[in-house]
Amino acid sequence: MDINIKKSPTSSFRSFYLFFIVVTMQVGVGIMGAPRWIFIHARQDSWISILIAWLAIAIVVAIMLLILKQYENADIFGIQVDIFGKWIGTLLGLIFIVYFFISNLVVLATYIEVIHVFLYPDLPSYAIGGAMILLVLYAFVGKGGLRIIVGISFLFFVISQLLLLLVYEPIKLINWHHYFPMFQSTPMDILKGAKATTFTLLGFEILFFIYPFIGNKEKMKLPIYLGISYTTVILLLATMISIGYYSLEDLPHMEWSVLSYYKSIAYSFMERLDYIVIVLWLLTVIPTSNFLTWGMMHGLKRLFQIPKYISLYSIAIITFFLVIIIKTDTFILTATDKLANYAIWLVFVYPFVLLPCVYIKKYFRKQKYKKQRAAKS
Amino acid sequence: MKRMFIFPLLITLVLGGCIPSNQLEKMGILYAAGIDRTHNGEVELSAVIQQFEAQSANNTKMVTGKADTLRGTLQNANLETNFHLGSGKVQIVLFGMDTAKQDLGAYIDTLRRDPVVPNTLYLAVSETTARKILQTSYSAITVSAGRYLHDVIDRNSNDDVFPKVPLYNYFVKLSDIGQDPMLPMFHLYEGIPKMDYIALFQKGKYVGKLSMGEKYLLNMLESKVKGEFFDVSVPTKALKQVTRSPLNSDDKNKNVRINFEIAEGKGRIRVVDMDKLDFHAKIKMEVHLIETSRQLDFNNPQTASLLKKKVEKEVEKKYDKLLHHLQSVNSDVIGFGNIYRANLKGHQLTEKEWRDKFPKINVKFDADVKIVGHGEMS
Amino acid sequence: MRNRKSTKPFLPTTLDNLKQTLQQSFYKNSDLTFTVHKKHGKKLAVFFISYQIHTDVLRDSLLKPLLEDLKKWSNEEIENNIPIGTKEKTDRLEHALELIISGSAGIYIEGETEILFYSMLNKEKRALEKAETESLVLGPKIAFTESIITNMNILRWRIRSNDLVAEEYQIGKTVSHEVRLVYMKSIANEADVNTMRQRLLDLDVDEVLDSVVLKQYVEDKQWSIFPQFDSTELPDRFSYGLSKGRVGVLVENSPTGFMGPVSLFSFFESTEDMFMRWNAGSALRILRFISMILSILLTPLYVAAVTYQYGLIPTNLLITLGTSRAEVPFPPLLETLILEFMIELLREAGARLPTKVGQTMGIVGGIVIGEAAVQAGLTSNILIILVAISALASFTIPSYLMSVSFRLIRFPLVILAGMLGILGISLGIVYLIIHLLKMSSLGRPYLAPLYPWRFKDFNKVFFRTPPQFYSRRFKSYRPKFLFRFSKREAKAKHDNRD
Repeated sequence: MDINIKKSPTSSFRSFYLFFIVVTMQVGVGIMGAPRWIFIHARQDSWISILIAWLAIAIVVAIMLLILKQYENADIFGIQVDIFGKWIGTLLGLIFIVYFFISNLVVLATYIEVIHVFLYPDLPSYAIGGAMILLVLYAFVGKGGLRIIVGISFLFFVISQLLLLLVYEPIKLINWHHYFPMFQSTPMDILKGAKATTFTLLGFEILFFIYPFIGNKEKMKLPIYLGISYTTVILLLATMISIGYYSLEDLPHMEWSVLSYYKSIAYSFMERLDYIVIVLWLLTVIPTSNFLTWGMMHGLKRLFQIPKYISLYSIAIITFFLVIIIKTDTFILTATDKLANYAIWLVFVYPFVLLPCVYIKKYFRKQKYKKQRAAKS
Repeated sequence: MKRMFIFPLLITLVLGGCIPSNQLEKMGILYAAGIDRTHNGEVELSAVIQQFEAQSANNTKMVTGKADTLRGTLQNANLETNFHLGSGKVQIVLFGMDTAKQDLGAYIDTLRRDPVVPNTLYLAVSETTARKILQTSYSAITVSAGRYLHDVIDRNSNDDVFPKVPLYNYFVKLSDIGQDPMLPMFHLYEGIPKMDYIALFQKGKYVGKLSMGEKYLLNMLESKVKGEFFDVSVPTKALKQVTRSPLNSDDKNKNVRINFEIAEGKGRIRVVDMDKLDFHAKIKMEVHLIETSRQLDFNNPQTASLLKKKVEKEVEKKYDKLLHHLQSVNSDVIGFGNIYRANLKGHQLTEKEWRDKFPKINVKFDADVKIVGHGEMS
Repeated sequence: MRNRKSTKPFLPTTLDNLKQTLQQSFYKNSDLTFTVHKKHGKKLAVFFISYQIHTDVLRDSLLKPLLEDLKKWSNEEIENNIPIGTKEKTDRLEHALELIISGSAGIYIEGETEILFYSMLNKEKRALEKAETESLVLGPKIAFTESIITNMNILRWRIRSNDLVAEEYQIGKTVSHEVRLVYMKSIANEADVNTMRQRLLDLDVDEVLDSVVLKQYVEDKQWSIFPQFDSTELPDRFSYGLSKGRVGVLVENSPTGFMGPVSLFSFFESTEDMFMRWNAGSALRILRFISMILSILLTPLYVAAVTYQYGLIPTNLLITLGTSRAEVPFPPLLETLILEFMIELLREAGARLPTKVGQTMGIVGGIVIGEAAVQAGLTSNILIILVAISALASFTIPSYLMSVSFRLIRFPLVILAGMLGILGISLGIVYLIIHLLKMSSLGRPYLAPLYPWRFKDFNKVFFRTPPQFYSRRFKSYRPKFLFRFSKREAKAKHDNRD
């Protein structure tokens, strides 16, 4: 396997789109229920937790970029093989693929669950799951590929931001006393809240995968940091509205707090805006799933040279059957919990381990190179 | 292969498309629901439904269901009609007095839990049973009783303030510590429902009532108020320098009754002393004078300042009375507890704690009335 | 293109032989006139298809000098003394036949090795007329005709520049048509020109009926419902496209030309927007985008709301809608499909009938049938309004082909809405957007400048700005020369007030 990937102008994209990729991956479906989990721990100080999480993510992203910069044009699969050798490197790569697979499953299952709760309790999972998986597939067949899914994430982001305009109504109904007293949570609680926040803000690890395909890498920092900041602002907004809008006693019991407050909006030409919000959430689910699927496809091709179509169709079929099997919301809860716990190691801790390894390897390589040169001359 | 892509998509959807539909014309749309308790403890639902029948003048109908749970009553009520009852458009839910006196919490929770039920429906209380109000003969009012009640509530408030109590609003106040909900209360006045009282709650439990005329006092403390009217009575004696006609001897014990329109009214409550439970409430009002029972001379520069002072005093007095009443029934509908909780550091306020403390709070009301206009005449 | 490699020189030959050969090639067709003249001791044959040529010209400019003035008959003598039209010489039968068909008169002197041909084509054509399918309120109203010579003439007349290149190709194996590849040499992207040329040359079909058919052969994605080249019968729209750097194609016998690369949004552009003041032009363009969204979404939303999500319907409208729905015996999906079908029927009938009858049809169909359908309880009156609005909205799209596409998209969306409610609509829209993203026109992205994002092109696509802001060309399609004029100089006005 080549450590570096050849640059090709046809599959690369401008770094401007990184903003949308990062935001799409981070927002996902998690934000619909996130305020509750943050609030349970950090109460009125949730905003501190979110800011801490943002800081942590910014640091991790910086580390990730630092690792990637040590190579010419490599992704995580190449780097791992380079550092840990073929066997361990492949195994670690496989862990990332499995992580993506489960993430994808959770995203789809969560959305199906939301559809079941709010819209159609009787709609069979295979219909909606199948439709979503087919839409994801459609982005890859034929002329599709990375550029197309970047476009999907970009366009869908723009459309789904219209939903943000609607939050004006719930903001009017906020009880400002709910934000006080501030600074009452213990640092431990705030950190727990920050941990809960990071679960929903996962997704920026896609950078490890798409890095080789960024066209102008010198300009990529700004969009990435803007992206994680934007997601943080969105989450902050969602959480603060939830705290102000719901009673402090109820919020820990609101499963989809973000969706529920759209329920109090009614316009003279259309009522029940929550229905619209729920179906438009598809616009975030599809690109997220697209990128996760692409990550898996790409990884399998890099690690085992499996042709993209074979991996694409097998991933789709396996996901489809698993989505049908998942029936209860308890699965989603436990899976999310487990996933989040492992993901925190993989995404937040692992880069810190990887970075020194990369440096050491680089040091030895330099030494070797010097020796070779010395031997030659 | 890839061109055939749309076909699996369609097939999946066709297979999945067998979901039960809610075709509008086959639905009996719940417009208003009344919830009562029967003698043997069952829930009784009286629902005014809108059904769509061709060639029928009257499309509203009342159905009744009895069961142990709210959902059960709906299923039970469905046995009475050939339409499928749908609760996606409920406009108003009316609680009977018996129910209100026990606890509304469980019903609110059920309504809130159901994703179909809209969040914007209004809640209200009946002085008797909900059924009686909803059963009002249609001859007295042209629209259905449910529609009528909804519109009465809707038209009596310019902004989203009391008496509009949407479900989400009640839901928040029901569980917020240091805050009690209130609802408008209907009673039958010569056979027609009239919204005369404010029902005070202790969480979900009805504890007392206030006159609807006092809603502006409550609303000003909750949010900005515009376009509400209120009456004050000022002793004629106090205004004797500024009346146009000289006072008679029998005017001495009479009052001048004045009606104002609030152009803008807003209150702000602060905690002065957490231990002594001292509060300070500042109420700023800009008002238009609409009606006086005795002509006052507004060319006289003294008039405005004198009137202002007297009216401020009257408003403060009204607030003192209101608070006293609230404390006597132990219902904190203004939400002093919320403010207390927001300033409380170190531990979280509990429900019981505030129940004990609320009757003991002292509030200094401080009204600031500005008379900005007096109609066409000075 | 005709296959010429099998022909061998068949001259010199006798006149009888030639006559027989020609007549055999035309399968004893009586169209071929073959006359033999004798003078100066030589035999000479003149042959042509009578209705293909100007007989006046033949008589006055060819036969008269040939039979009266010329002293000697030989190819050289004729060539030197009769200077009319384009002449060609050939010794190959196939080529000779081709020339005869295309309106040349042949002269053969017995014993010579070549036949002389004089082109005197007499082509029947209609006069220039006002555009019918794409009508404008403001601006030039002239339309292309069926004659490619006229069309090129109009185009040259609009773009008086030696920059305008018109490459000529013959396409079609059995029946060949002249096809012109038109572009502005200094503006059009070379890659686009090459792609289009390659696609035209690679085409291996027996015949193309019309430019609209040719267009379908050379499109990027033939399965898609969306047209990927802009067809127009307006020379000003065509030349406006060329001046943006597009590559155009004109086909003989076709009154429409097509050009690419285009984006989805350029179908919503009308040259009229440019003729209006910028604010009015912007308003109209935005109106068209809104009407597109309405045209796609109105009826599906109705179906979804009435079938599943009645919560979406405003409470005050609920009773009106419910009572009018109550009389309808069909489910909303079927009701909508019936009505949409009826509207399409009316439109199609209106288009096929002569103008005057068509108008009456519209009134009869629209008012009488609509009113009666509601009375009879076949549809609800709100649906009639919605269907009418969406039909109207789809007609605001300046491009006829695109407006047909948008009307058709509605049907799958209505069906999806009938099956899955608003979730179905959402799935349909997602599918549509992904589809559009994957599409291209001449290899250029179809959703430009939205994706790839080029904000500087927005004032050319989604709205309009005062003319001095058009100092750069449409960047998304990478014209050879981006710069148009200096913004500052365009703004300056040297008014002499004194």
